[in-house]
Amino acid sequence: MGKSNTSPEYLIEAINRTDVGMIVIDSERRILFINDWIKIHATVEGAVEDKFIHEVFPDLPPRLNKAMEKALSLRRAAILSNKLNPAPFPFYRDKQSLTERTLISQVVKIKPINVTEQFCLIEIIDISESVNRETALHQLASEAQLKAEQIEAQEKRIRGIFESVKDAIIIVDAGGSIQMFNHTANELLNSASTSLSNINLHQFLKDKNKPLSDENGGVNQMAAMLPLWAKYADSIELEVTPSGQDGSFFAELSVSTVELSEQRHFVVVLRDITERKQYEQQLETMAKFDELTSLPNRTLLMDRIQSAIGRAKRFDNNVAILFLDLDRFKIINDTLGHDIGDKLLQSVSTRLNEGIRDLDTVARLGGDEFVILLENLEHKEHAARVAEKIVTLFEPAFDIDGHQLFVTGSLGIATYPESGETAYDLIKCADTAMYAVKDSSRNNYMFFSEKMNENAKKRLELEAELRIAVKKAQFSIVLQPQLSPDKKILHGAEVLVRWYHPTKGFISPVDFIPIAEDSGFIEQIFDSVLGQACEFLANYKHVLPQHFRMGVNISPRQFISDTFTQRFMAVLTRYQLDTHFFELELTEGMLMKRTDETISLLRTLVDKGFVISIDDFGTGYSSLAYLTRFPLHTLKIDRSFIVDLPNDEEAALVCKSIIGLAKNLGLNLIAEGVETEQQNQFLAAENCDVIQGYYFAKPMPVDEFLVWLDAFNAESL
Amino acid sequence: MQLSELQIDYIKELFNVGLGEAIVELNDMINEEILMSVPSFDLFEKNAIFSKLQIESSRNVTAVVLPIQGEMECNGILLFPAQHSLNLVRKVLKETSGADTLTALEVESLTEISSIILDAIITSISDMMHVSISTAMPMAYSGTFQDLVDKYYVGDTVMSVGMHFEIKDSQVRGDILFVQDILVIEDFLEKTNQMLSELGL
Repeated sequence: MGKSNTSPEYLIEAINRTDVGMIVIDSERRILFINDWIKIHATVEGAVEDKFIHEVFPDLPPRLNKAMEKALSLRRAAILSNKLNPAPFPFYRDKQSLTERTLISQVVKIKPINVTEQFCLIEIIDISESVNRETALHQLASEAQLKAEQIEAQEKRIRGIFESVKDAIIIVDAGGSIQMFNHTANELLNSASTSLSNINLHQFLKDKNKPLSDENGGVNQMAAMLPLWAKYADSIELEVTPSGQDGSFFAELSVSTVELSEQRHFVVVLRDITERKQYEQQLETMAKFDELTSLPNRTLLMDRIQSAIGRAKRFDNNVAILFLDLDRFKIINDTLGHDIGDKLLQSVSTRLNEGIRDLDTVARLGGDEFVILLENLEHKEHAARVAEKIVTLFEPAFDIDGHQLFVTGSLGIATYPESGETAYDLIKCADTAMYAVKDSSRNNYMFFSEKMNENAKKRLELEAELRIAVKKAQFSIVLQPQLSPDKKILHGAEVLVRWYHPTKGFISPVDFIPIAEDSGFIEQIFDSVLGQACEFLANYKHVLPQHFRMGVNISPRQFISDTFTQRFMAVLTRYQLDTHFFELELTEGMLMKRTDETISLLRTLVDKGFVISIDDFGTGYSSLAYLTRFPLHTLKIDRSFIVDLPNDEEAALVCKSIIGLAKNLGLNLIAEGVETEQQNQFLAAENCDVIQGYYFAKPMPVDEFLVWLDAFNAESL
Repeated sequence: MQLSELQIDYIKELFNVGLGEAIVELNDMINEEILMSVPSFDLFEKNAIFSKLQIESSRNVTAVVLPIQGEMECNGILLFPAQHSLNLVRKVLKETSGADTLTALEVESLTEISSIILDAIITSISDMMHVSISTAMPMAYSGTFQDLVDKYYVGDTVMSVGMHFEIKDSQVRGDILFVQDILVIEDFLEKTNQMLSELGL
């Protein structure tokens, strides 16, 4: 080697032809030899032999310099790997890579050579191909890895959604065999521990209570149904039976088609709707049944009546509606409490249900009102037999929490087609008939008649007119004097109300007072009457006798009102009148209810200075024991006893007894409706204190009364 | 063969000095701090190698073999458990990911790094013991431990130095093994004693 160049020519040629670059340097780092590879790939111009290597390649890295140093001084071999030293020498493959400044990727091996003196061989191996290949592979690998990571992340996300939804998601193949399912699906369908995979979905489903079993071709049915469901149904409600379980639940399924691995699959989303179903059922029950008694309510009753009417039309038979209202139920509720009242209603429901045919319906409209619907009746008289039976059903006492309660009912009966053609009409007619029973006797039944309807209509009309009358103050007072039988002393006058209707004229209190009482207008009417009476007193008390007293009728409704006394007193204050001007006329019926409370109320009134009298005495029921306990002042003998005096012995006897009773109890007596002289004489003879009636004077408007008073005063002078 | 504590300390010191040189060189190259230490030293017969190193013969290992010639002829071997060689190379090359085996280019780099370490150690030995040593091209090996032993463990005695790298929070363990004839070892130990006596120890 070197300048001496004694080597054979072939050896030089071989070295020049290798694909490895070779540089030999001496211990002073002068280049002794480079092969053709170096000449081809280096950019160095001219001869390099004998030049220092750092002159030819001025920018060699320190690592290479150090390796050469070690090889020369310590005879150490070294390798410079490409990754740590990508291109220690400035070698280029060709012109193009030179212009692009793309260096050859190299591995450099430094080998000490000890021949005559210490030399060093530097081998440069072109590994550009390997580097490119590895770079490409690495890039591919990282791309693939990135892709895999993305897919994994996406799958994780989708899986997360898939698993976290509260609906069961099941993917089945075209035949219904389960391929994939989420956690919820497993929970809903799989109480056994076996996997759902490859089980056919039909095994869980029931349609209209029929399981889609293998025997009835469940698999085929499934394969046929799935595409139809997917195409035409938004959702299907089915019963689902989980594996390993007898019970089932209601589910809503929605099915859609999906292509997986180029094959048709179905995504079945299954939702447990048990709760919703229960809720719906509850709502339906609430809408159709009465909560307290579980009987059908008005809505369901109307439905049933309507269908019954339909059937009756087709089969030409009868339908009857029995409207039942318990008599005096309110008293039980008021005195024993709603709890007992509710329990009584429940017991009544039970008795009613037991007493009728299965085909008939007992419904509760509310309160103490029940309706019994009887269908398919051959004769409408049959309804009367049922009504009778219901009346007898109430005969035994109801035992409610130890209270023996006797309840009766009033029944109104309406029949199709006679009473009406619609459910609404039938109920209305039965209701009217029921009221007719209440008005007459109670504890009885009555068929609806047109007359009832007319009465009811009249009543309604009157009620409407009362409303207007109250507003327009169409009420006025009349006064009927109360005198001693010898007509010498004017004790007072009873205040009576008159309603002058603008078109109908005078309307009798007998007709409108009960309606006013029911509708609550009585209070406004009373206020008006009392106001007018007070005005009269305020204006004319100077011409009236000192002990003059006005008799005022108190209605039951007012009497039980908590504010009665307070309101009365307020009016008196307004007119600056004393209570002793007033005699409050009550009926026996009012006194005999809630006697303890009544006594205390009466005491309050008497303490305030009012005088209490019993009106229409003898027509109601009075307990004599109570009579002694009430702070009463006067008894008013009812006109019905006076009218037959004096010839009717019985009437005379009753009057004498009442007068005797009053005397014995120290009570005053007023006889009402005295029309004849004989009657007056009789009463005078029996020491009756006060006479009221046409015999002395009819009830008169205020101005007329004043004229009468003038005459009376003149006469007594 | 029993070594005194003094001998062992001296030999460990030789290795530590060598490693120190290697660290300087490697740090220059890769611009990343590397820590290396020599926690253990042992001397045993070749057939005890499996039990001593606790490596099963069938286990795959990566190694770099540096043939050493001159006055202390032997094979210097840097041996890594497979995953550790991977960690070392990837950390040094700052590669974050890749295949779970070393590529050809990575093997070359492992060879370079390992040879720098081995070279530094034998330079330290030759310097301190005044022996002339030359090296041939380092070679990478990958295969079972048994094959490695069969191929490169030419002598009958093994001098084993445990080595520990730490690069960027990553722990890499390796074993530096010098495999030689007992005669070479005896010569080495004699020189050691000579050095110790020169130092007055």
